[in-house]
Amino acid sequence: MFSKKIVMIVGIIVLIAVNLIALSITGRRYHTHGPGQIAISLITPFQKTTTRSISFMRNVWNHYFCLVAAKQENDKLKKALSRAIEKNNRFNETEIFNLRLRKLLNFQKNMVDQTLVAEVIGKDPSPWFKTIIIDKGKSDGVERGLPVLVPEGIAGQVIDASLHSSKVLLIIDQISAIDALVQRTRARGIVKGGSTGQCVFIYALRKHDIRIGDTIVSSGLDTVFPKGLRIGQVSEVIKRNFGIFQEVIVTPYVDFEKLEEVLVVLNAKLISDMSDK
Amino acid sequence: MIYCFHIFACLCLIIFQTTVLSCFSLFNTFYDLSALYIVYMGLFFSVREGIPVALIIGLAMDSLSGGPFGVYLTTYFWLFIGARQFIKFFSVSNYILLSFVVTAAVLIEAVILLGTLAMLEPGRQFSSSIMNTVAIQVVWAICTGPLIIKFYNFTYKRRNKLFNKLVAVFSHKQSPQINR
Repeated sequence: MFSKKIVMIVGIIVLIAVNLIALSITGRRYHTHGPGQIAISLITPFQKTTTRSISFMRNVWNHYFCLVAAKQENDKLKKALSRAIEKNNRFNETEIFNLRLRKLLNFQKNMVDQTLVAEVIGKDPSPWFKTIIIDKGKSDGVERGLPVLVPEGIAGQVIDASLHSSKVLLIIDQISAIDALVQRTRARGIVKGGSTGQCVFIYALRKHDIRIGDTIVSSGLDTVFPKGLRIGQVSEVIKRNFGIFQEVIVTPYVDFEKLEEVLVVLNAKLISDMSDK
Repeated sequence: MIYCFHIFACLCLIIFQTTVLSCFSLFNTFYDLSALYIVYMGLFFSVREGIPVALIIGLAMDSLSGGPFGVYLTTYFWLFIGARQFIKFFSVSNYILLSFVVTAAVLIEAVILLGTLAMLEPGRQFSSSIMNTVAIQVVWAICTGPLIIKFYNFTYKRRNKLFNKLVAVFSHKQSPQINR
């Protein structure tokens, strides 16, 4: 009745339609179940071993073959250290002063004690998505939604946790969003991942004074990231003749190319709740 | 046994790409090596062997990647089908044709990934840097793709020889016992 060619064309069209429908259903979620979890559990131990071997070789190279540069660096670092010690003394004084004030204000707990150090064991196989795999998972107390930091600032958020590893969505990915403030003027907006490895600060009203060099910090209102964590620095402000918002480009403080270790904040929700109170 | 070999090879490629290659900034925009393996399977293996491998590796990539779930499954499935259709009309022994296939695969993968993102995340912005990334991937693919496919083929043939030798050794050892 029908030729073989027509049957084949119809078959391909049906296959494409089924594929699109399936993709639009499964593509709404960014975390894995069942077989996906098995795949992660199978691959991550090898990723961990490979990453550790690479860092071991890199360490050998840095420690034994670059000693000439190390001597010069050592002299520089000694000078920097003496300056840092002096600065540290001043900070210690400020810290003690701060503690006294906190006690007075009845602050209860600090976030520092509830963090977990994790090693980056793999990066996203595709250049289109910005995620990393870390070597801590559910067995270490890591859950979906926990914030991930480095000393320089916010790195991202856990989007998927398996038993011994987790997937972290970096703040430069386009689906990432953080409720944020300009530190100087307290202007509010949302930091979203941009398309060129930077972030954009959206929904900032035109009337707010935002300048290049301003620091953007988390507001704590998204109940994911504790208040006051550094995100990035304003690198460009565009005010058009129309619209009620201004366009602000933010360069993150974190160098995502060199991420090796990160901190997962385990009690982030508790901190957010406390800062709300 | 053959499935295990292909899955193992692909897992090695994924681990290599996510750990070793990512250490070098030069390879930040390198194309997907597993996709190339799927194309290789489409060119040299049957549907019975290729489809399960494409689906399993797609699932593994979907689990590791930050993209919407199912996007790699879709990409690998259609790449395999495309490669199978290609060999119906052309011979892949030619180096230039192989370059063409690899380049087409890289472009198809980019189109499917970006198309899916545009479909699922209407708010996503696509800047001109995407064109740069795709262009760099294409250049990498033209320069290295055919060589990598030849390398995959070479590894597979070596594995076959080794496997046949092992089988011969075992059968040689066992046959006197059976005779007794």
